[in-house]
Amino acid sequence: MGNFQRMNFPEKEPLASENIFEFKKEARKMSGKTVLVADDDQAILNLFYQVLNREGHRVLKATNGLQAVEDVRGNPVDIAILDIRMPVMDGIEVLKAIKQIDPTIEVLLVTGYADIENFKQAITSQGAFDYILKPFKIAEVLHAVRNALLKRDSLLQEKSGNQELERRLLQTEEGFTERTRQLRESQIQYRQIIENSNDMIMVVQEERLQFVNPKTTELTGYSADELQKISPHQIVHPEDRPKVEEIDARILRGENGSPTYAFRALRKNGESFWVETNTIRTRWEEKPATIKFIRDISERKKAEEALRQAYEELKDIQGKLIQSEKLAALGRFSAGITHEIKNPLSIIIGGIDFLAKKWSAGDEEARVALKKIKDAALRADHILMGLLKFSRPSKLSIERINPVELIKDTLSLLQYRMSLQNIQVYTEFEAEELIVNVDKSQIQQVLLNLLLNAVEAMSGKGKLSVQTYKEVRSSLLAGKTACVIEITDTGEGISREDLAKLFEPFFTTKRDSKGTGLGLSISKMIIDNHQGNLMITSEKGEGTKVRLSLPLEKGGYS
Amino acid sequence: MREILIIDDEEDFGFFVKANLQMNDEFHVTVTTEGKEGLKAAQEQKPDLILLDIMMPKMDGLKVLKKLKENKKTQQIPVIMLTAKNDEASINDAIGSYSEQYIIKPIEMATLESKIKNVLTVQSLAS
Repeated sequence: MGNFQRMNFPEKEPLASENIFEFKKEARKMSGKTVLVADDDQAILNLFYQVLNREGHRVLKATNGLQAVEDVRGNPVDIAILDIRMPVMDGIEVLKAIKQIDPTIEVLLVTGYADIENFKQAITSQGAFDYILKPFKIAEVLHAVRNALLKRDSLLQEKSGNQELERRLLQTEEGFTERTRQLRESQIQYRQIIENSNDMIMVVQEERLQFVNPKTTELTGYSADELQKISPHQIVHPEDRPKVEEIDARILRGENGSPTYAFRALRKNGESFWVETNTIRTRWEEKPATIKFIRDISERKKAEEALRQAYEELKDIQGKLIQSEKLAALGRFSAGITHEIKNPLSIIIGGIDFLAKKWSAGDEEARVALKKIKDAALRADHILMGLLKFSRPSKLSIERINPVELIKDTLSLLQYRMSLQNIQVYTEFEAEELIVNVDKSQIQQVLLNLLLNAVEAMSGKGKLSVQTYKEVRSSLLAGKTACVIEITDTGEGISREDLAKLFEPFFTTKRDSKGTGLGLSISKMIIDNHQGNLMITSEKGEGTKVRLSLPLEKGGYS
Repeated sequence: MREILIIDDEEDFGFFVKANLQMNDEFHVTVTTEGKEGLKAAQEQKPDLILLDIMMPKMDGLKVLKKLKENKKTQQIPVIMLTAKNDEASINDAIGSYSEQYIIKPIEMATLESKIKNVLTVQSLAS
């Protein structure tokens, strides 16, 4: 601002014609400004006033320096014309004061020839625009005023340009501050999300947990400090570690995107729980790392397991339903057909008996033949008898019985046969008296059937054991207690394929016409009618275990 | 010679029972194949014993039995019911107190013959 420019006025006064034209043009442009004139000489003041007023400027007159400064403070002043020699405050001091108030106000100092050398330095250094030497010519004054106004104008323009720049700079600064604020805010938001996440979130780098969120400490039972000291594998179930390590390595190599997979996590107290993780590759402090988002899915797993169990049980029930439906269908079928077959059979047998009597003294071969025909007819009848049992309405004559007594009775029926085969019998009965409400003769029929099967499965020697115990069932679909009878033999066992068909009517492995293939299916039907359960487990060559359960009178399953 | 009346719609069954029973000249057998005919024969011939099939078309064995037991002329005649069912409970329910015996078809002739003889013995002791 201390830029100083000495205007070179022409030595001679310019020709009125050209100058007047020029001035008028410039003055029009520069009119309407406010000019402060300070001089202790009233006559000079008036002169300035008239000249400048005529130019269209507003003129403020001050007769001393102090007043001049006051005028500048109170009014918008464009330029000031100051006499250097004034009482109270001289022109130089006023110049300083004005520049302090508004440095854009241009100042013209008025001085005499005699003083010019004394003040030149001060004029230059204090930032006056120019000086006017007394005595001055009007044209000279107008010229200086015009130039000063031009200077001020350009200064103002420059200033407003600077202001724009400053404004922009400020805007940028404000934008930057706003962005920083937003960034900080979003940082806080992210932090809140991570800290309040229901999932464990951790950063793993070089076998260390570089960061964990509060959920991780909550679920693992380790403190954040402890977690930073242990290997991340310590929170993985040992059996799942190879899987987790392998997948993590793949992710670190950038393969396979971010697969979601489940594994068992391990708490500090050794408890394991199911989690599902989503891992992504990242950089942490300029080095490769992974971020893991781990969700506790133990509840989901539990629900899945319960669902699977329920499904299994439903499948089991469905199987039983199909089985019993098959049996019922068979029953309806057999009821209709057995009478029709039994009548012709009775004719065949009557006929054979007649022929046998007729030929009693005759051909031995014919006698044998008739015997075989009759045996076949009787076997057919035996099968029909079995079939008819399915068609019987399941009217049970229920009594309270102790199954142990029934087992003993039934075993005694087979005693002779078992001793012939050299079969050893072991029994182990529940000490508590278990009472069941059943149709005694039907259950005895079942027991006889099952025991006979066991005896027949042991071609020679063998061990037959019968055990009873109380069972508390804790199933989703059926609860309560049952009496279980287990019959175990050391016989030939049953192959897997045969095991599946065991309860199918007419399925038999007894080739030599000993069986009808109905014994087990009838037994099953009887037990089902008693709301019990009949299960057979066996392996070829390993013997067979039959497990029969009947609901107990007290707290039996309903 | 004891007189036996068979009432059974299975004609061939009657044929063989008759052939078997008459072989030793101990019995004389009349075969009828339906209820009405059987009732008529029972009244006319006064047999020593009647073999009566339960399942018959038109008049079934149970109705025939009822009529036999309601008629003074025939009510003393012992009846052995013949059935192709083997459900004891339902047979007992059906014939109630009317009949002494029942036989489930098919039956071996020797068994049938001994059963007939037993019933006749009991009958003769009672009278």
